[in-house]
Amino acid sequence: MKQRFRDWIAMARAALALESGPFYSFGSGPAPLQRAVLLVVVVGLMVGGVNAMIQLPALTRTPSFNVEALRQQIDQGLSFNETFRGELPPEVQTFLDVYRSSIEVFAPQIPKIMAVPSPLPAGVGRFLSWLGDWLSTPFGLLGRWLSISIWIMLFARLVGGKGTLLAYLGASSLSVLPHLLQALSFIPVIGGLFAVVAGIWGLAIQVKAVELTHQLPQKRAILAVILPYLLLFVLLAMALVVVLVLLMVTIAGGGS
Amino acid sequence: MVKQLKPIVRLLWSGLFLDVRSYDEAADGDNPFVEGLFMVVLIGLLVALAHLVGSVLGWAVTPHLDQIKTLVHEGLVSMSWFQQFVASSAQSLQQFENSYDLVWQIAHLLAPNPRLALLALFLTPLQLLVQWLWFALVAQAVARMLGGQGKMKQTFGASALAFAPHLLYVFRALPMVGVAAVGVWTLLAQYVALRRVHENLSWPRVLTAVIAPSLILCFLIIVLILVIAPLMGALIGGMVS
Repeated sequence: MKQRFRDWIAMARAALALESGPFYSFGSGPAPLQRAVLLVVVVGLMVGGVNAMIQLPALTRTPSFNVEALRQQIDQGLSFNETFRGELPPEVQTFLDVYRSSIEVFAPQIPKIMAVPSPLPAGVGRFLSWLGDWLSTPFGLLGRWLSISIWIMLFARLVGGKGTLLAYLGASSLSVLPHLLQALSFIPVIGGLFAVVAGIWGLAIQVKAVELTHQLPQKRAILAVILPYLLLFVLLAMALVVVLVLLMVTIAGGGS
Repeated sequence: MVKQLKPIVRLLWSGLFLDVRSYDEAADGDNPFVEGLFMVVLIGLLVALAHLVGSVLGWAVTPHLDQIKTLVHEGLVSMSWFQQFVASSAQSLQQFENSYDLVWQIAHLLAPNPRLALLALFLTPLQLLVQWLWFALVAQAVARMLGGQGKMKQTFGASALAFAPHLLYVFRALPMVGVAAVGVWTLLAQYVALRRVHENLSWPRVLTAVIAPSLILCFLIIVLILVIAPLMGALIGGMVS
């Protein structure tokens, strides 16, 4: 068991350093997808597990709501707005007054709403929610990995790749390893940076997986990995243009 | 019973991980259609049972919606804008109450409901059966048109096994777990299934046959909407006039 764990750690380090060994190992064998899915699930559970541990103390606490803190927060927001925007038009001022008074009237209801009982004690609900967040992480990672991998597989074939689906999926599963960095996403300010680094590192591993399993030169492998993202960007841009055109036509129609 | 189930569970497990031998086994069985039918119903029942457990748990940890509805109502009616709104016209209050009730009726529909989940015990296997038959019939027809030599019964057997990724939905027995990846995993399994049945076809042709059922279904739905929308419009217009 201990030896097996050590082998896995050595394999992960070699894959992260883009050495060829783990890619061949994960792309071959009797059940490449079984090992690939296991890897993705383990990484997902570890990333989700760190966040779950951080949330653990909140499990035992009954969530409270501070009406006064909400009032202060809203007042601060409104006064900040007034400071920078200067004198507000009377209709905006009226709207803000109604908004402020409405929140003040409604705020005492919020603790009462939070205290509404459920058939089982509230702690069970909090535990299930905590467990759900944790277990959803591997599913999210699995979904992202499979969704992008089928497109990369398709483009790899289109640029002349010869690899099989299972061999490529097995090798490409190693691209989730850098996502272990996302376990550190709770750190303020630099947390988001880890996600960016993990994404870029994951792409580099995808390139290596395409290169080795499809026997493609590096330039073509890069093309196969980048093209799905480029296609997604073009489709999103087209969708945005269509929405903008429709919006402008609607506004122009309303104006006339 | 357990003895009979064991080989099916083993087949589903290896089919889930796209083991090509399991797809050959499913396609070349004694009676692939009946075995496929059994597999699809079994997956449907397991998923529906998990959904039932998840719904009961979800219902048990959901606060009473009627109490929340009353508390929110109390808060809303005491706001100053509400008083102005009610004073604006005689029908305002009635309109508000109707809209408010409608919102909470929708909330009740979306909230976990064990009674609806009981209905799913029947509907989920049925839904999977329809999906399976549609996929197998259309994909086989397209594959044959493209030159595939596999038999219909083989496609029935192999494509039933391609529903194995739906087993991931058993995690819905825990109410707050978001199960992703089933759609794309099923697509991959369907590709492997058709590739094994129509071995002589090139990969782009197999891919065409795999996505054809979804594309044709989308096309049919769009046509149906285009046909029904004017009819509904005319009907509603006639009723109003």
